[in-house]
Amino acid sequence: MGEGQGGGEKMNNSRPLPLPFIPSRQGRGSFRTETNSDALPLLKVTDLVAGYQDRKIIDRISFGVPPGCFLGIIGPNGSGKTTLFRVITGFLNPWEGEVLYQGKNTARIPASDIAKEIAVMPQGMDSTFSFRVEELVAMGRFPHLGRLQKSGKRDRDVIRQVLQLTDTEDFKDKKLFELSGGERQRVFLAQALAQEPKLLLLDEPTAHLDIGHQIRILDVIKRLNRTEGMTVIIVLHDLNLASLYCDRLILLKDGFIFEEGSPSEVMTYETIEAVYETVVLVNENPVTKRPHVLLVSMEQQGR
Amino acid sequence: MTYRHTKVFIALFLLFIGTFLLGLAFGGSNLSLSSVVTAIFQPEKDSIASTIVWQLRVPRFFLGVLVGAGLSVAGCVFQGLLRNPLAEPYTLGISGGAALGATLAIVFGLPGVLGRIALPLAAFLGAFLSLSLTYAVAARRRFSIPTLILGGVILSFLFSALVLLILSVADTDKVHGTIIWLMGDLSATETGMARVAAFPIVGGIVIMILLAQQLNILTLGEEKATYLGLNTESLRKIFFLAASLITGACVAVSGLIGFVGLIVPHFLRRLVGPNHKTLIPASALGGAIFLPLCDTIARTIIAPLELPVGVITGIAGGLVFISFILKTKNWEIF
Repeated sequence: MGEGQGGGEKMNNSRPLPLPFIPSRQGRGSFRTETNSDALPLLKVTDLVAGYQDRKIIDRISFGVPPGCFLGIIGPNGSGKTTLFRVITGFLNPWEGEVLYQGKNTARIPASDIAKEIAVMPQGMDSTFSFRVEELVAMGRFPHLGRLQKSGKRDRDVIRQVLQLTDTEDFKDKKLFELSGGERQRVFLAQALAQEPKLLLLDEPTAHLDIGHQIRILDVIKRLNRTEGMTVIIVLHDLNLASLYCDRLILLKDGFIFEEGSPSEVMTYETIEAVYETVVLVNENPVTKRPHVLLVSMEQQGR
Repeated sequence: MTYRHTKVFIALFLLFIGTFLLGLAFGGSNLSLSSVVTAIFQPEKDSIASTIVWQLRVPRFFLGVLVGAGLSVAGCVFQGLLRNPLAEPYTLGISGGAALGATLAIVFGLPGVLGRIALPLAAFLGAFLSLSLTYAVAARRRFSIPTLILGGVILSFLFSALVLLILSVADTDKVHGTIIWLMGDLSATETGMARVAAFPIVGGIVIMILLAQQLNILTLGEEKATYLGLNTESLRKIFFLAASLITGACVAVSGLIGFVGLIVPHFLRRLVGPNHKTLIPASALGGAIFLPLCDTIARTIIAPLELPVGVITGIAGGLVFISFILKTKNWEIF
């Protein structure tokens, strides 16, 4: 890391993302995108039960995700977020229930076909070897290549576009291990976007990142959600980030859905206190008009 | 393929030509470069030189090329597949099985019965046995990487223990013969055998080159590879079987030549990067240089006697590698 890191960061600061996503100021209602909840859901989950070995983690979860939705999955540690995520992505087989993508059971669609439409960025993405950034992003084109795996002009165009979109073009020839955590995360986002997904699934893409990098990552995703209609399902730990970006939230507790709805419906102090077992205040972000959770330490709760 | 890669490949190719000429010139009796060239292009002019070159040194050189390339590619693939820089062709127990096969053959005097085919055959059968056992163990756990490594390493220890058990009760001269075989040697193989071994080795290398991008994606981890549409379990099986077959064929014709499969891929990863699309061909070429070069040293250094080539690959490779690590700043093993 070391030397390369400084250079990359500097470039980011001097040149903002093209067309940065600016949150709407018209009040919380307008934040819901034009998702028609009557339309056939892009993804539908019915009566999911899942777990590891004999430990049940997910207990009868059902919900639908309309096309164009930006859905957040939140909940305390151990509430089943990542397990639910892995069942949706097909990495983990459910014990009961099914996941339907465009009406088809994902368990019956070959992985190579799913990868043409759904891109997934798992938690803690990393690489064993220090590939060059461009090589890593090019791997995202793999599902679209033919039998001979020769990449064409279109593949190169898509790669260039996603490099620009994620602001990673400046270090496309650098090796992964020369980059900072935030830069690496953007590279893996670019890799997922190179799949040109209709549905993007992300598990804590902003973990361990500073606030600047958190916003940069989520802005890119939100922009594609708005301009391209890309549907997004994102597992987030940070309640305020979830509130800021998601149209809908699913709040998990002990493997079932405790609350579901818009951020303002889900993020009330009663709900958050009940699920997280800690005292909070919920305010309104003066700019975005979205709920904002404020923490109160145990020590100060007595005052 | 970047400009830098092209330069590396050109350099490797020139080195290969140089190694070829050296390998033909040096040995029990040294030939001048001009007589080597004469022997190649006008064999009728100097019959003794051309006999040495064509009958002895060319076949042996190409055996070295075959085994060197095979072991390097197998090592490269195992490092990628197991996502572990310490992996090499012998990590998953192939060596143990082959050694057991060869030891049994020597101790029971099989070469006396079957002739020169006995050792390669027994070694290959041993390799195949260990491969099947590792496969059977790993298949019970969806071919997960930890199971593959643990199963392979444990079987390897088991086979080594069996070899030691046999050697501890065997005659001294047979023990000596076995140990020479265990050290690895390119001198004992007939051309016909090398031709047979060429099929799995060359075939395996071609499969690896065709599946290079899949191997790249597998190194991102099973979860991500699945999300990019790969059937990770069947791919791991293919890579394991192909790399094991290459290794088994190499071991059968040359014994246990160590170190080639570990350091050649490391060295070339440093030069061309970890992308298997370029790393696998580069490793093949690198191994095709390194092993024949070591073999030339092995039969020249105490001529007219020969050292087992495994001794030279270990010493030369180890020294070069260590000095490389000490000299290079910011060494990344990956």
